[in-house]
Amino acid sequence: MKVIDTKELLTNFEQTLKDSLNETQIIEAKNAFANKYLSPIYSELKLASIGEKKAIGNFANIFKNEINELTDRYLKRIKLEKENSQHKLNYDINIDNVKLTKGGLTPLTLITNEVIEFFKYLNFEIVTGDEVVSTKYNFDHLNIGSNHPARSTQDSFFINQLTMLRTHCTSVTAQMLDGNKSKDIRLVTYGNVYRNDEDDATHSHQFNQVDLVWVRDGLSIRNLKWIVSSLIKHLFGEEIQSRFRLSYFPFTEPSFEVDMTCTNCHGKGCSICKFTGWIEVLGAGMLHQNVLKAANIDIKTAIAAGLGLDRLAMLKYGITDIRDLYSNDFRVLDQFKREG
Amino acid sequence: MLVSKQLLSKFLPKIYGVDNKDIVNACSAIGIEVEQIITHPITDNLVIGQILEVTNHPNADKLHVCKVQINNKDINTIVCGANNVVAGKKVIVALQNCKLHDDRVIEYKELRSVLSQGMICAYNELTPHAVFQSDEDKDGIILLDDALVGDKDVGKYIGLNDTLFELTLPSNRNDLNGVLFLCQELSGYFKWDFQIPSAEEINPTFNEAFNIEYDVHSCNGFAVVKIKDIKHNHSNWLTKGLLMNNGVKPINDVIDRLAYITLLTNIPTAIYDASKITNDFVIAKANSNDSFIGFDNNKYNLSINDIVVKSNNTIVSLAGIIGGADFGVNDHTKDVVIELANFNNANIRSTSLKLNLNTDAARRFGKPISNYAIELAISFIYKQFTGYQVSAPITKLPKAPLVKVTLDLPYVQQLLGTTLSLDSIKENLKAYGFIFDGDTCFVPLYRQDIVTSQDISEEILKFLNINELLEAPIQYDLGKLNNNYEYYLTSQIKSILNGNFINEVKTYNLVSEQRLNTFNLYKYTTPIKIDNSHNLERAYFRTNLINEMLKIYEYNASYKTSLQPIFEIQKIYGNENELSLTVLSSDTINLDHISKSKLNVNVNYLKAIANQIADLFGIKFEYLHTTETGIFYRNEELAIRYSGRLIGYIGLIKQTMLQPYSLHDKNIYCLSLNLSMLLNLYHPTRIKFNAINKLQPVFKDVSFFINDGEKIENLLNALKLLPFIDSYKFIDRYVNADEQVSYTIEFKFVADKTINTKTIDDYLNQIYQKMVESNCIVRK
Repeated sequence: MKVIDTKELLTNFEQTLKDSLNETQIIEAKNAFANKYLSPIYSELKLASIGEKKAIGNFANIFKNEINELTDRYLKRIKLEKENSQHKLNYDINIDNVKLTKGGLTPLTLITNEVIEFFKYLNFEIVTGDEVVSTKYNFDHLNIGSNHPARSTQDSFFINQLTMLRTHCTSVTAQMLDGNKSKDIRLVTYGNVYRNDEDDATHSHQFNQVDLVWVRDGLSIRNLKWIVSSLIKHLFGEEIQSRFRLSYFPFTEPSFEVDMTCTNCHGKGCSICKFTGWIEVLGAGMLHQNVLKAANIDIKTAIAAGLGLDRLAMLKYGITDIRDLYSNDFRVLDQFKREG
Repeated sequence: MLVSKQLLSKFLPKIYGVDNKDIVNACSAIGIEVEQIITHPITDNLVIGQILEVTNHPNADKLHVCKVQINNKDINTIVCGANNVVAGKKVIVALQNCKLHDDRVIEYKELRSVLSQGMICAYNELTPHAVFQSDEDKDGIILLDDALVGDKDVGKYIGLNDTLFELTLPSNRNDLNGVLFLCQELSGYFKWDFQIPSAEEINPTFNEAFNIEYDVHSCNGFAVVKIKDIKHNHSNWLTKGLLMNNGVKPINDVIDRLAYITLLTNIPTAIYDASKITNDFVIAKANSNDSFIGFDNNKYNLSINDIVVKSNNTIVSLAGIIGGADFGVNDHTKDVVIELANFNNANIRSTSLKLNLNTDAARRFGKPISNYAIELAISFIYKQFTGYQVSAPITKLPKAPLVKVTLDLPYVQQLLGTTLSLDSIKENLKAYGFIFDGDTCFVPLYRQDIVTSQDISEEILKFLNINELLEAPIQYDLGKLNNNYEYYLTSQIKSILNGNFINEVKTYNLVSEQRLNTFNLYKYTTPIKIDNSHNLERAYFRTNLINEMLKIYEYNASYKTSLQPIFEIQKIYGNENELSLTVLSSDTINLDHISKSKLNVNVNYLKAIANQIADLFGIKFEYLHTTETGIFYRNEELAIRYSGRLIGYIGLIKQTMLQPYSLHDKNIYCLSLNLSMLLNLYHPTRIKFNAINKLQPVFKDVSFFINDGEKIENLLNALKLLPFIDSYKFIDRYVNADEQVSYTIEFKFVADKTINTKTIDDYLNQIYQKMVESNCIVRK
């Protein structure tokens, strides 16, 4: 057997492979190298004596494997290079440019949902009802007599003498209570209400309310306090305190206005709470006997409360102009996409 | 309502010892909101001086040079421009370095070559809270009679040491506008001894006959008192200061005394020159052609709902609002007639609103008052006008029946959630002016808000203190669970739309007439008109949402904000009311300008969204090409129907329709859907499960040309008849050189058994057959 220095040959071969530009060149180089150096060894093997065959055979196999290994390594390398060079980026993965946020809800819907979530726990019936209502339910059934200042045509949108746009969700409550024979009525009404008013930073002719009643014998003011302060905590956090002040609404007696700790200054006093540390957040009371009588309900106790959702949203999100809730400026709405 | 601590202290002397914070708490406990606490500023370097001598300024016509004694040794020379400056009077002098509330600092300075050593002050130079100062006092300095020269504590002479509370009263407690009644409530809270003075104490000095007639629809009570030989003085500054601190503009001695009575009792008075009227009064509704010239010299045309006071058959005042120009008091008036009345408050309100006459009297008379309070006011005339000749009152004041309430103790206990005893209730309510006989409670005469035990429970809360009552959780049964489908489904729909990158918006429901008629998609003919809107922009309840939503695009485009897809769900009122959903989107939603990723919106995209909503209800919508709206391009307009009824539209809005919104360069697609109909369809078991097939599905693609003008829905309807088609989808569209359109459909066959090649060929042949019948050319 001719002694050949495979090491040196392979080093040269590797150099050729290194210089190859593609898979074909590698294969060609391999074929050429094998023809020139490996084939002669096999030819020699054929002619070799039985005694030599084993040694030559072993040598040829080792050499062949070395060639294959080397070729495979460079084939892999060139494939990898090719893959990387073929998949060119046409953008920079370091730039966050794609805006793929799901659509958002308005702040008013977000706050409505939060309030209603609370009443779902208590298995309330949730109603939005008609926005065009009769004066019977908007006034008469709610102990608002024909002489009451609230009936002034100046303040409400009338369609005719008997029909109007609801001025409070309580009108739907009155409608739902009328003739209701259940011994345990839990009702929450939400949606648009209207006042014949000019719009400014704190007034809107169309705004939103939530109104609730729980009619059941045996309910007391202490129950009302529980439900109202629990709702405020649900909306604004466990640490928020509530304060009740006697007030007057025709459809409740006694009536209260409820304040909560100012969320801006946490009760220390600031311009938002007029340095009182408290912010008025809702009205509540025990439903007036005349309201229950008008609905033909013989249960004697019922708790009721009403919240202005626009004001609530403004307090919760720190909005200072109510018109921002209706401008639908995308710069406003975009800020609420994370919620809900 | 503005009330000052000094006025309260006249009846509740102990209030001086009470911290303002505790007064706020007391008010809050009795249902009164303290909006603001106002104090006058404290100014240093002020002193009481006495003007010794006044001479004209040598170099200025309008200025005076005064010698002012400012203590027992110093006399300052002060230049003063006021026209009421007079020697002998005491004045308030601002000395050197005195810093006034408007940050002016007083220094000795030469005024036209006379050195002025200080300034003689007017009221508004000493406090910013001078809105109720009379015009006369604005031009003049404060002149005092009883003041101590050299006294540096000047505030007490003009009421600047007072504290003012701005209150909001419960709207059913008009009586509390009278300080006496307010004091009754406060004394109840603080447990102080206080009793409203008796209304029966009167000391007339002569008698005079008057004839009074009224109809009960206009008036519930009327009284007159005559006062002879009135003096035409100004009130002293102590009185003026007190009146201003309580929201009253001082005018003159007589009127100020009457204003004080009004402050105490909430009964406004009218005052007539006795020589200009006769001793007969008739109170009635005006005639429709009546007119009247008020004290403000304006002419008012009256109508039959306005109440007037007539004397000698002539209108002398617009009842409870404003007196007549020809009958009022002037500097020559000798005797006056004072009117106290209880007019129909609803008429006063409407007249005041109609004529835009929001006088103090109109505000007080705009809500119920009591004849008892009038009697009380009459008794105060004798107290306020001691030394005057005051006639015996001529009254027509029917006494209101005493209100008795039988206290339903168990009910009150239940309502309040307490076990309070009757004795405790009696004891505590006495301080609020209630008198008990057993369980019968007599309501104070001036209270018109208490009729039932429920009303009494509110009074009880005043001493129980609502904030001290413990909260009590409600024990409740779940009972029958409420489904609340409308709320639930609306939320679900919003969620679907959000998931498709569509944002909710919220717009106004009232629109102008012009806005009403554009985009009246469903051609509603009987819209809801608002009868009494103050604003033409709010004349109708809208019949569609598109208008207001396009305004959103107009608005945002004007801020160069890119237009996002939007939706709104609102009630609209057309021939019937419905819950309406509208979606608007421009044709492209750019997600990334660099990598050019974007969503292309078109009719079919919105159809896919509508289908997601249909899926929520477990139904399928039908879409029919239509041209009926006139709002959308004819070739991009679909009517959405469900079980034969029109429930919506999808379309591309015509450019001409977008012109008014400056959106004419945009393609805006619209989906409108009537949700009311869908909400009734919902059933919780809307999803039916089909067992899935374990066999391999068989797919086959078929390509075909569709002849020009041919409707593809004919083919699709025909394919529906082939039972072996499980589903299909369009996978390619190709237009050849002859502009022939070719589609490729991938069919999935029902594979309830293993199907062989022969069956598949059979299926394909049936499909080819339908295609040929539908004027399509199969490309094999």
